[in-house]
Amino acid sequence: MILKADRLSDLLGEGRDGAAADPLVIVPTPDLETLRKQGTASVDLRLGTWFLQARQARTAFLKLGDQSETREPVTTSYVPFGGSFILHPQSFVLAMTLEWISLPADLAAYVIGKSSWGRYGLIIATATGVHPGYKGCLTLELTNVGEIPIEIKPGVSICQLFIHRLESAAAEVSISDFGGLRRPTLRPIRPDPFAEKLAHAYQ
Amino acid sequence: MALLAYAQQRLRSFLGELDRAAESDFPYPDSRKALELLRAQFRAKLKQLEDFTADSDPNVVSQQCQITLRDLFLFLPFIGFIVRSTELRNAFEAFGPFLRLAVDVLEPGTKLANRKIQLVISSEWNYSPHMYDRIQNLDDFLFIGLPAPESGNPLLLPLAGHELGHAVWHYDDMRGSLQEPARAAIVDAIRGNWEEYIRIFAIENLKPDQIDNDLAALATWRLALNSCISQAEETFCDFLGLAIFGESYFYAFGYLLSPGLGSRSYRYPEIVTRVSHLVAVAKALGAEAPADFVKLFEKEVYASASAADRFLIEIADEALEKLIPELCERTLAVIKKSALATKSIEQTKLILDRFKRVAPAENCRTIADMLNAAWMAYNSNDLWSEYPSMQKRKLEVLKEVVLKNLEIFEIERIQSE
Repeated sequence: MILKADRLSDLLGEGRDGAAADPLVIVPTPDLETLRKQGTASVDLRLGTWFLQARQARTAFLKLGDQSETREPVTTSYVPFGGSFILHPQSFVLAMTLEWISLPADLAAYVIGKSSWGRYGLIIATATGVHPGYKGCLTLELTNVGEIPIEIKPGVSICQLFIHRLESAAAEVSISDFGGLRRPTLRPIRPDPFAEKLAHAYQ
Repeated sequence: MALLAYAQQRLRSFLGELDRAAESDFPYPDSRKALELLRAQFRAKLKQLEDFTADSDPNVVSQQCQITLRDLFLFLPFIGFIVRSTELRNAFEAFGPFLRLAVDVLEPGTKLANRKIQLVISSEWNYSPHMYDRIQNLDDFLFIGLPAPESGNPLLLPLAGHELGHAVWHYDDMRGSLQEPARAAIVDAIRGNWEEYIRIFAIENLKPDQIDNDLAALATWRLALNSCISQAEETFCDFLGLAIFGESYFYAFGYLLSPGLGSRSYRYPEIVTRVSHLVAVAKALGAEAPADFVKLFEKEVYASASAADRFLIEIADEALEKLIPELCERTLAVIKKSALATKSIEQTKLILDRFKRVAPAENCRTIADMLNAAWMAYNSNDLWSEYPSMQKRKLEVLKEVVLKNLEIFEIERIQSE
């Protein structure tokens, strides 16, 4: 069940006031009155200050399960408030939401782009699911599929979060290695035993 | 004139380095401003050298080249410092909140937009927090450096409070106003150790009441006076850091400096004495010392072969003891005069509750509350026991939460202005 904006507003209010044991937290907290009046089923999130881009000139290719490469194939940049980041056509960058999210064990979420940006060709995220109990800023996988460079600035409203209630609270919350972070990061793609077995079937 | 050609070329190379530095991605305007001021200053110097002609007085040319060379020596480390302020290892999110804190202390009541103070926070290739201020033509800049491996660790920010203390010390000319009390304390200490003084310095027929008016005697205890005043400055800076940040100052201090280096500088109080002073004044400055804090430290030795120097440092130490109450009062006066919001244990607990949920807090009143909560979280053995993947990365995640909290603190202030 997707939570409506007024319910989200109530939950965020409870989280802010310390009334809930396992609260829904989104900080900086959106204006709760505005959110309530919006009457929508989502909360807008803003663009943060940290970005991660491919180090193209130094990376031959990415290889599944290769743990031997110690140098990250990416470079991080920080764009202060007032600065901007130009996303060129066909380029891809990891960014973060400005907001830090903490989902309780009975809520999950989906990050969805905003049509206002989408119409200019800005795709916000591909891995959009946020598991119950997640803590941290959300990683955005930004791509400009349009033909004109797009200027984005920290603080702009860039995506929306739809929050769902689970049938019952997750018994145990497992937060991924991508949780608890304010900056985008890469982790090596783990070897997949299923795929490995297939790959070596006839050797 | 090869001399002039060398100097001009050195300056051009230096300016080339400044041009390259200007291409850095500056995380905030103050560091760019510092670099621009230096560029303008060195362009003017180059122009001066280029304006010399074959008829110019060789002595004047030589002097000017000498001044230029000296400036290159003086300023090159600053260029490195400014460039390092752009490196991603730094806690960029701390800039805004710490700038506000500095303005609240040095220019209370001034809006950020009208401030004179400019701040550059950077990392040092030197394992010691450091402060440069009163740099020629950069009078309003505070350059605060944290050791490179720890410059992204927000839990150590309270130590920047110590560095801010140096700026207050200079702004309020405490060196000047403490000269007399320090001098009197030194004289008292020498009179109290008269036999040893006479044995070491052997000034014939000198009487105790001549110690502060006999020229030969005065020259003997200059080191003691300088040491006492330097130690007083460091002590005052510790007190100010403690008064601003509370308990987190103890923890940050213990993290970075315990158990001490074994050998002692005459400019600093001996480390066990130094932390004992902190513990002694903690209550008066609104903080509580952690249990057994002093035991983290080992006694340092002043390793000088000279009996005279060792005696003078002991005299300086004795004199410093007499200045402690005054340094504490001066600290309280700075806090009272400042526009700092009062830190509180209630606020700290609310923030800690949020940290326990692996989330930053909103509506924090002071960064001191935030950092005190951060250290309480760090010191808690069962923090995040219900989130094993977070507990495994405890310090990494805690730093992230605190840095995000600093950013949120700043956003809230910007939005309310």
